Formats: sequence, structure tokens, C-alpha cells
Amino acid sequence: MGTPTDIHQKLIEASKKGDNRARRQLYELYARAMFNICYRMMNNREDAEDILQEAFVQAFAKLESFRYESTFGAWLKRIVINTCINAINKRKVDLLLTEDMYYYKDVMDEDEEELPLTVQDIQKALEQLPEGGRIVFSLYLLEGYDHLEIAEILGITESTSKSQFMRAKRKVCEILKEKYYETSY
Amino acid sequence: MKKLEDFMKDHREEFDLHLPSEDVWNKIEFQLDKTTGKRKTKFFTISVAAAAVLLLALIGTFMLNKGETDFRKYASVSDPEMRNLLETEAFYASKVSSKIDEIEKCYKVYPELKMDIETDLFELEKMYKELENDLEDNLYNREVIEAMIQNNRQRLEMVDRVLNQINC
Repeated sequence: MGTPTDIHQKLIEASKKGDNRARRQLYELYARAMFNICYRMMNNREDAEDILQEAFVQAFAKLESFRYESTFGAWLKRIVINTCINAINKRKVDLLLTEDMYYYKDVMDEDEEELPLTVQDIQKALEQLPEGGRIVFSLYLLEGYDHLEIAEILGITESTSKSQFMRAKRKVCEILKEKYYETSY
Repeated sequence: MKKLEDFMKDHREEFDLHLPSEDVWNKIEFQLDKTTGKRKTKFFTISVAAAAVLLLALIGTFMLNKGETDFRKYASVSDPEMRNLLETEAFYASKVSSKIDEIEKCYKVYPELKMDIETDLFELEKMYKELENDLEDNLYNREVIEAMIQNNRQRLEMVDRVLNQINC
């Protein structure tokens, strides 16, 4: 590409020069989306806010290196996700991404078809997932990365990413189903 | 299985329901100021200002030394104290001026520094001129000379301190 094409190019360029108002505006534009990524990755508000702060400070500090090779949002998102992963790796020995950690019984497709879905229920179910599955599931379905990209981000194989995703999805369906039958009987 | 995925894609926006607290931006701003040295300049300007006052006087003297030969004409007077003063001044002036060169390089990083130093320097120069007048009037000669030497010494210390602080 070479030429600056981001819709927020002016803000980005001003921020590169250290303009605080521009930085604030950039922050306002992306804070919500980035915060929710943090929230899903870290699974609690406090950590999510710490990471959000750290990621934005980092992003502004190395803004010079942003050359419009992707959108600013995509660039920022990678910084946010990497910051999350670093924090998770620091507090844990390792991400729970081994293949046979959990056994999920098959959820039949026809069962699932009947399930009433709400954003809130899904979100709650996500919070109950084991860490690795939750992260893969969110990165794939909500952040829009494919399995190859997730494999690269998390340092796992593509097939691990796929199997983690399938497990996570089954688990979500299970939780939703449980909740559905709990409340309907 | 497809249903869940489709539902989530259709309702993608609704999944971003959390909002960070106001405090986060303040912390970011604070940290940025800290790392870019902006805040640092603010509070070290006060100490730099003091240093700069003396330091600029030095530049003033330095220039006087170059231009005003007639101020020094009584240096040829075989007054050992006066010669001492001249030598001391020359010694400090050369040290300080090379350090000032270094500090000037930092103007780019700390633009505020330039303004502060220049304003303070102007003040200092006035003070130093008074000392010189005293000297010319032969008022308390010894004390004046000692004050001037002491002044030179302090300037060098100041420049050193400024240099250590800006660290660029």
C-alpha cells in the first residue's frame, strides 16, 4: 500500500507527533472494542482494565512503526491480544490448550436448533469455559481470526485451534441447554 | 452448530457490552507523559530554571570575555587576584561552554528547556554585570572576586546537574 489510507489517518498522524487530544480521540474510538477483547481474554474487569491501559500505552509508544499496512484497528487489536496473552502466560504456567483436557458429550444438531439464544446467556457460558477454549472461541467467532491466525497468535498448531474451538462450542451449547432445561421445568 | 455461530455473527456488536472506567485514560495519559518526558520536564524545569539562571550568566561572561577587552584591561595590572580570577574564569568558561553545547542538543527533546534557559540567562546576565560594575568600582574587591569565582564554580556544577537530569 505505502500510502496512508486509514480513515483515522489524521488522528493517527497527530498522535504520532504526541498530540494528546488526538490520542484521546483515538482512545475513545477504540477503547470499547479493545476493552471487550480484554474482558473476554482475561475474564474479569480489573485485569481487563490493566491490560487495556498497558496496551494503549504500548501502542502510542510504538505508533511510529504503524505504516498503514493494515487498518489501525487490526494493528491495535494485535497489540491488545498479545498483551493479554503475555499477562495470562505470566500468571499461569501455560495456557490450557492441550488436546484432551475435557470430555464433552456430543450435542446433537437438532437439539441445538431448538435452543433459544441470547447474547447474555452466551456471554455467561463463555465465562464458564476453560481459559484456552474461551480464548480460541472468542478469537474465532468474535474477533474474526481464522484458525491459522489463531495458531500463530497463540503459538499452537492449527489443528489444536480447531479442536479447541469445537470443544468450546460444544461446551457453550451444553451450558445453554442446561440452563434452558433448568428454567423450563 | 451453525445456529450458534450465525447468531453470534448477527449480534456481534451486542457482545461488546462492557465499558472501561474513566480512570483508564487518565492512567494512560499519565504514563505517556512520563515516558515521553513531558511531565518530567515540567517538574525538573524548576530545578533546571535555577541552574539555567546561573548557566546563562556564564554564557554572558563568556561573550564578554570575547568582546570586551577593555573590561579586562586592568587584568594586565599585576594584581595576582585579578589574574587568578581571569584564569579561573577561562577554565570554567571552556568547560561550561562545551557542556552547554551538549545541552543545546537536547533542545529538540525538551523544547521548553530553551525558553526557560534563555529567560533565566537574561536575568543572570544582569546580575553578573552588577558584579562586574562593583569590580570596576573597586568595591570590596576581594569579596567581589571571590563571589565571581564561586559563581563560576556553581555554574559548572549546575550545567553538570542539568546534563545529568535531561539525559538525552
